[in-house]
Order: sequence, then structure tokens, then C-alpha cells
Amino acid sequence: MKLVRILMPFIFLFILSSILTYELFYSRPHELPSALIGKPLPEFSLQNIYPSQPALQSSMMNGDVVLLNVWATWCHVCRAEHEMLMKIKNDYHVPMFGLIYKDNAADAIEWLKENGNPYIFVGDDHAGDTAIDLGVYGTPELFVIKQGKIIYRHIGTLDQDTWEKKIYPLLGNLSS
Amino acid sequence: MSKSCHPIAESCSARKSCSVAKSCHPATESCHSATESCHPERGSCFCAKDPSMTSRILHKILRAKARPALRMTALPCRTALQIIFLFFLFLSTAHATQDNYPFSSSSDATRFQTLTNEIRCVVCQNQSIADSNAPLANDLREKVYRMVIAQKSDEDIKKYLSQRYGDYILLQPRFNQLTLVLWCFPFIALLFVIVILKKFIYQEQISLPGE
Repeated sequence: MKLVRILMPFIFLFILSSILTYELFYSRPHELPSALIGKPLPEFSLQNIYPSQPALQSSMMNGDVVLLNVWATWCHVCRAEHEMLMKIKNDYHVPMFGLIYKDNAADAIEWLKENGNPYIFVGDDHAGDTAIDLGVYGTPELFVIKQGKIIYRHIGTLDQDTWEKKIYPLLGNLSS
Repeated sequence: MSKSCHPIAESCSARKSCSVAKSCHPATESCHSATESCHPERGSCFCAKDPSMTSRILHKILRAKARPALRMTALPCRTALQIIFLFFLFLSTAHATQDNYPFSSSSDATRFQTLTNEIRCVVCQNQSIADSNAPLANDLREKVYRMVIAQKSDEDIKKYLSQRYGDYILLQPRFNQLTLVLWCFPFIALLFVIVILKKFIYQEQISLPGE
């Protein structure tokens, strides 16, 4: 009993320092959980960056599983993940839509011509209003939409590891 | 020129630099040259109604000089206050830059001020959108502005934002199941401390007679 009493402060200290260590090194306060998980995709209709193509509408994303990527040509990290997006298109064949955030169509077209276009359609959110409706606070952000409902949001660059560990299993489970 | 006065001098009326200066206090206007003294801090003359008072004042000043820690006399104190005043003056102009959101009524303007101060900038996280100049903060300010103009209630505006960005966007957490512990913790902790302290005091009281 006396031993427990002596050890008590040390146990308390240990628990406290573990929590603090976790918060300091492992927590990611910049990755906010989306408030829209499990909610239907907000309605929007955005002009396509290619004038000849139809407008990007939320109703297009009612299919089984689709991805919606919010990006911009001014976003350097978006360039880093582009290769992965091309891989998703070519190897995994998951339909993906794009949304350019506070950018202009001409730059985006040029960018896609240079790096390849992984998207079915790309909408132009010039004012950033649709992004606010989606709860976007930075680029890139990738939304996983299942039958018109947002089931996951990934913040930041997408790499092979994240895709395999976090997103791809999600698609497998849900489409079965 | 007037600094040439020697601070130790009892009276400096004889020196040219210390004539009956304008800086003499109005209450002692009728000062004679004999009652004049040189102020070691200001380097100008000061006068008192009687000579003994002059030497007393001088003595006081010199003593203060000897103890630098206690030298917060009227002059540096005023400078400090002036600096503080200037600081707040600039702070107020920083807020005045928000005038690019014109309102027809002052109640709307204050409502906008309070709302933008209560909404977190999700990009910078520890600032409100009123303080932040991040592009998204600008957009959200614009949204809030438009909703305030459209006479939407504060609650509606907060709901609009928390539906999109989660409750995290509100700088002051709402009281709900999730934040119950957060809100109640201070009271629980206080109670805990009281109980512990009571126990210790009680133990001490018991052990005292035994000693």
C-alpha cells in the first residue's frame, strides 16, 4: 500500500508525459476532420475549364465510388501528387473529378497538357465558394464520394502509401 | 545650455543659464533668484516658495539619483505612459482597416466585429478570421459580411460555418456532449483540490495535539 503511494506521482507523471509526447510528435493538428463525412455532397455546378465540355455538377458524382480532387496550379504540392493521380487513373481505374481552387482555366489547361489529365471533368471554382461549401481549407484535398455521400477526405499530398493503406481499402469495402 | 547647471549647486541664480525660467511652477511664480535651484534631471531652474524647501527638493532628487531602482519619477513614468498610449493608438488603427466592410447600421457593424472575432481561421488555427489575412479568412469574412447584411442571425451564421468546417471553426467551443468534460473540468478540478486540501488540513489538525 505504501509502495503504491510512493509510486503514485511517478505513474501520474508517466501518463502525463506520454500524453504530451504523443501530442507533441504524433498528433496532426493541421489535419482537421471533415464535418461533411457521411453527409451528401453539397450541390454545385461549376463551369468546365474546357469550354467544349459540360459543367461540373455534383449530380455527376452519384455513382458508386468517385474521387473529387481540389487542386490549383499555384499549389506546389499538387504537382508532387500528380504522378499518383495519374497512377490512380491508369492502374486503379477509379473515376476522378477535379476542381481548381482560385485559379484560372487557361493555366489549368496548360498544366494538364504538360503533366497529363487524370480527371474526367475539371470544374473552375474561381471565387472559392464551392470550396467553402465543401469545407476546403487548403489544397490539395481529396474527397472520396460513395453514392453521392462524402465518406472520406484526405488532406495534403497523396502518395502510394496513403492510397494503399487508407483510401484503397475504403473503396474495396464499399464497392463490394 | 541650461544643462551646464551643476546639480549639486544649492542655487544657480548667479549662472546665466538659469534665469527665472518659464518652467517655474505657476504656484511659485513669485520666486526670487535666491530660491531658485537647478533641477539635475531637467537641467533647468525650478523654484520653491522658501529656500529650505528648495534644498529639500534638491536633496530628494539627488537621493533618488543615488538609488537608480527607485528613479521612476514623474518624467520616465510619463514617457512610459506615452509609449503605451501610442501602442494602443496604432492597435486601434489596425482594427480600423476593417472599414472596407461598410454597414448601414452600427449594430450590424458590431455584430460583424464580434462574429469575425469568434470564428477561427482554419488555415492559421490560432487566430480569428478578424485577425488573419489568409485568403480563406478573407473569403470567410466576406461570407460573414454578406450574411450579416442579409440580416441572418448570429446563430445561423455560426451554423452555416460549423456545418462546413465543424465546430472547430468556433473559437469558443459549444456546450454539448463532446465538450461536456472540457467545460466541467475546471469545476471538477477545483472540487478535487478542495477535497485534498481539506484532508491534509484535517490530518495536520489531528497530528498537532500529539506533538
